[in-house]
Amino acid sequence: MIEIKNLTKTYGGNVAVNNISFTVNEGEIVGFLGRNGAGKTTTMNMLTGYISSTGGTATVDGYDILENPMEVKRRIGYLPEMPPVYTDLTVNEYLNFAADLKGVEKKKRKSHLDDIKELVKITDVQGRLIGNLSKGYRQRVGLAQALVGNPKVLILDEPTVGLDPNQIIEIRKLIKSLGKGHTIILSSHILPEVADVCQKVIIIDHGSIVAQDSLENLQRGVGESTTLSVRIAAGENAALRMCRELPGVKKADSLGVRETGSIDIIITTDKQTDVRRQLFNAAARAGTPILLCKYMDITLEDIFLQFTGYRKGEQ
Amino acid sequence: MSAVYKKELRGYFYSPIGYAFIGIFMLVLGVVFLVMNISGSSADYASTMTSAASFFGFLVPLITMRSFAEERRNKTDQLLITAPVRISSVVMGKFFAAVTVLAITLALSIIYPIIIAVLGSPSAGEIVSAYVGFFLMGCASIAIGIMISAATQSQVVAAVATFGVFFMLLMASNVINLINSGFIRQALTAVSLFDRMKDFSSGILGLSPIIYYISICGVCIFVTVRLIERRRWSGD
Repeated sequence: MIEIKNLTKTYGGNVAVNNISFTVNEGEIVGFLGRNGAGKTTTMNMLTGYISSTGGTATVDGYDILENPMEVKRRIGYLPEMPPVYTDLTVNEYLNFAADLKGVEKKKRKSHLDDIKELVKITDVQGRLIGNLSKGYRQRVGLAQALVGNPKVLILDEPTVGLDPNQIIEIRKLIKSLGKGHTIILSSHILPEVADVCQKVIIIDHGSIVAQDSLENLQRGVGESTTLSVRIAAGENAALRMCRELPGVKKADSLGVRETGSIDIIITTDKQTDVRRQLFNAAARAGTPILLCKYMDITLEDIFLQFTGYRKGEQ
Repeated sequence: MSAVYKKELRGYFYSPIGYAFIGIFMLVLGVVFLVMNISGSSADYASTMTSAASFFGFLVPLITMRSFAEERRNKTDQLLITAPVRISSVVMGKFFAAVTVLAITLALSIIYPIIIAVLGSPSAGEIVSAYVGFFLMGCASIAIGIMISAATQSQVVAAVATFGVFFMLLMASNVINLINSGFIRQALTAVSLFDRMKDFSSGILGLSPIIYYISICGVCIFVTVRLIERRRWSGD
């Protein structure tokens, strides 16, 4: 759906975005992750045609942004970092204006706009001046504007910035549900947000892509070993001995007693080794039930730090 | 284009700007009318229009200063530029909305010649051509104002710069007769926006001033589009 090849943007002598390439398939939700000033917004601005690229190509649905800007713009709904709302218009006037701009048919307009207002929950403020709305509502009005005309692609630049925790959860839910009918690129510097919403993550730093993959692959790629946390209803020494005897276990350490009559142990293995079955069998033979067993997740923070920190060290 | 046009036009009358523009213009024209036509017992309304024309330049920033400066400042230009409309349509929409405000103002001012017609016998031809001239001069002034607005993100800068430009144009008209050098004289004549009005007020609908004003509109609209385009490339 979206294909970006060697896209570059320089401002004077500064390289804001350096030769980045990625593709986004139809129906995917892709998270664009990077520190402030990493080049996320610049990339989005190029993709939406707000600014022009210095080099490279960007195509949406087969149309090139430079050669066929109208076709591309028709397919994109854009929520910039600062919602582009007119404070002297009411929500309804603003959305009608957006519908006018995007050429939404007069006949379908009313029901289309009603649906959107319902979806982003701004029906109760539709008659109010945008200037009098809170940041959270303005953000939602901006999102509603992006949805007008039902574009195939949504580009959302930090959609949850400035919202309170409840609103953040709501907007994330909304984005997830929109993912069913749209291709979405969203940028964020909030890691859990990307982990929660996106299937694929692109990490950008100093204008270059340092990693792009599905979240699972990224997690697997980071770290040399896998860690498993288990709680076994046995004595500390017996449990540790049992764990250390399993094939492929590099290390087993006690975390102490967290639940009476049991012991928590951290088992470290090679990346490829899965010891859960052997562990189960060993515990069954010893008559010491396993009460809890889970992988210690590598968080997006770890991935992010590894990729961005690595580059920093390199420079 | 119609989307932007409708929104802009509504914007003028949802805020005090449209009313202020019409009100101040009617007041100025009214005072000139009172002095020249009523007190001076003259039926020469065309000269009244010409005199008011020099004031008009100072009113133009009221309706043009916001047009692009405000969009840029509030980043609402992101909506306009990323929407499937051409930049030229956006510029034209804003231009014609301001021109509509001008047209409404001029339509209201017809009350003055009507008063003259009741009291005396003005020359209808002269009045019509003075209105045509004033309207075209106004369109050109608006185009200049919008162009200046597109070059800055501050309304105040836009207003002051527009004000300054019109002041210089007005001065240019006034100093032409003091200068003997042929070249400078020609150059000043070329830029003196208000001088062309004089032909119209003597009842002549000449092709050359009409083309002159329309060309100014065309050039300014073109430059405005280029200014916005250029910013997309340089990104500042």
